[in-house]
Amino acid sequence: MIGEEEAQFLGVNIKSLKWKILLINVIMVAVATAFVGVISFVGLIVPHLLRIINGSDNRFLIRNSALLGGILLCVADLISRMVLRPAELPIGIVTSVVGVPIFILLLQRKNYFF
Amino acid sequence: MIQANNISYRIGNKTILKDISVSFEPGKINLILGPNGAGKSTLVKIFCNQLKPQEGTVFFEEKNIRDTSIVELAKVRAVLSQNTELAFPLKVKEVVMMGRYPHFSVNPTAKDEQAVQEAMQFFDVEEMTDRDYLTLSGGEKQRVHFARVVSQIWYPSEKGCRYLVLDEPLTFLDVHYQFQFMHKLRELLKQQDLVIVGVVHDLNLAAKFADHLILLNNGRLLATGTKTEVLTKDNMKTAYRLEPVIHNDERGMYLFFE
Repeated sequence: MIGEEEAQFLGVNIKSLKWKILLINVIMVAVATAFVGVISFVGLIVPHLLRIINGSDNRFLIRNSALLGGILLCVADLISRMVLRPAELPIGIVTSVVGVPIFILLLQRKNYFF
Repeated sequence: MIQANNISYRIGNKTILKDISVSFEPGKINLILGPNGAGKSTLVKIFCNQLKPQEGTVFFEEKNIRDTSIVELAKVRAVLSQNTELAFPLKVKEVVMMGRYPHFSVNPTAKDEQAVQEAMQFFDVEEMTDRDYLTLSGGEKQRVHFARVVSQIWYPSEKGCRYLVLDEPLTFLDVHYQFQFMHKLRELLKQQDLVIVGVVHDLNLAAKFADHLILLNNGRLLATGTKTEVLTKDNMKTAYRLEPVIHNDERGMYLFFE
C-alpha cells in the first residue's frame, strides 16, 4: 500500500515476496483453467471493471469481484443455453465474446492505474 | 554510529558519488547539504541499503550492512522518504501502526499499541487518530509519517544504536512545523543511542540545528564538520555558485544570498 521502497524499510523482503505471490497466482490460474477452460476469463475482467467503478480499495474489491463474477457467469450461461436452442453453445465462447472487447478497451485506457 | 568508507557509486559512465568517507555519531543531528544533483539522496539510499555502491562499505556499529538482513535492519533503522505515496483510505492510527510492522508477526501487541499511541502524542497527531488519512492536508500527512517512522524505533534495541534517516523531511511543512520538528528531533536525541541523519535544503535551518554537517558537491565531499567549518563563504560559492553574506551573532548564524 505504501510502496515497495517503504515496505523494504519496514523489513519486507520484496524480492522473495514477489516470487511467492507469482507462484501462488500461477498455480491458482493454471488449476482453474485446467478444470473449467476459458471461463476463468471473467476473473480478468471483473476486478478491472470494479476498479474503474470504485477504485482499488481491496475491502470492496474482493467481495464485489466474487459477486459480479458470479452474476456475469450466470448471464453468460443463460445466453449460451438460449442462442442455439436446443443445442448448447460452450460457455467459454460467450465469456470470450463479451470479455475480449472489454479487455481491449481497458488496455487502451492510458490513465488507468491501480 | 554509522561509518561509511570510500563510497563510490556510478550509473553507467556517470559518477554519482566519488570516494566519500563519513561517520555519523549518536546524540547529534547530522545533516547532509548540497545543491541539486550533488548526490545527497543517493548517499542516503546507500545508507539505507537501497543501493549497492560499486566501491566502499557502510557499517552500522561494527556490522557491514551488506551482511544484515532486511528484517534485522528494519528493527533498528527507520527511514522517512522524500515523498511517501499512500492512496488507500486508512485511518491515521493504522498508518502509524505500519511503523511497528517489523516488530510483530500477526497482531500488534500491547507494546506496539503503546508505541503508536506515544509516537502520535509526540508529534501532535493523536486528535486525528480515527480520521481517514486521505482527508489530511500535506503537512498533516507528513506529521503522521513522522509518527510512523519514529514509532518503528520507539524502544531502545538491545543490540546497539537506533538509526533515523530523513530524506528531506521538511517538505510541505510551514515554518512553525519545521521548527517544531527540529525541536522534536532534539528532544528525541536525549535518548543517547539514537543516530539521526537527514538531508535538508534550508541552509539557515541547518545552521541553527545541526551538530554535524556534510556538504556534497558534484558527488564529492566538499566539507564536513561543524557549521562554522562547513558554511563558509568559499564553500557556499563552490557549491551554490552564489556569494553569501554570513551573519554571525549571539543569536546564531544566518546566511543571506544576493
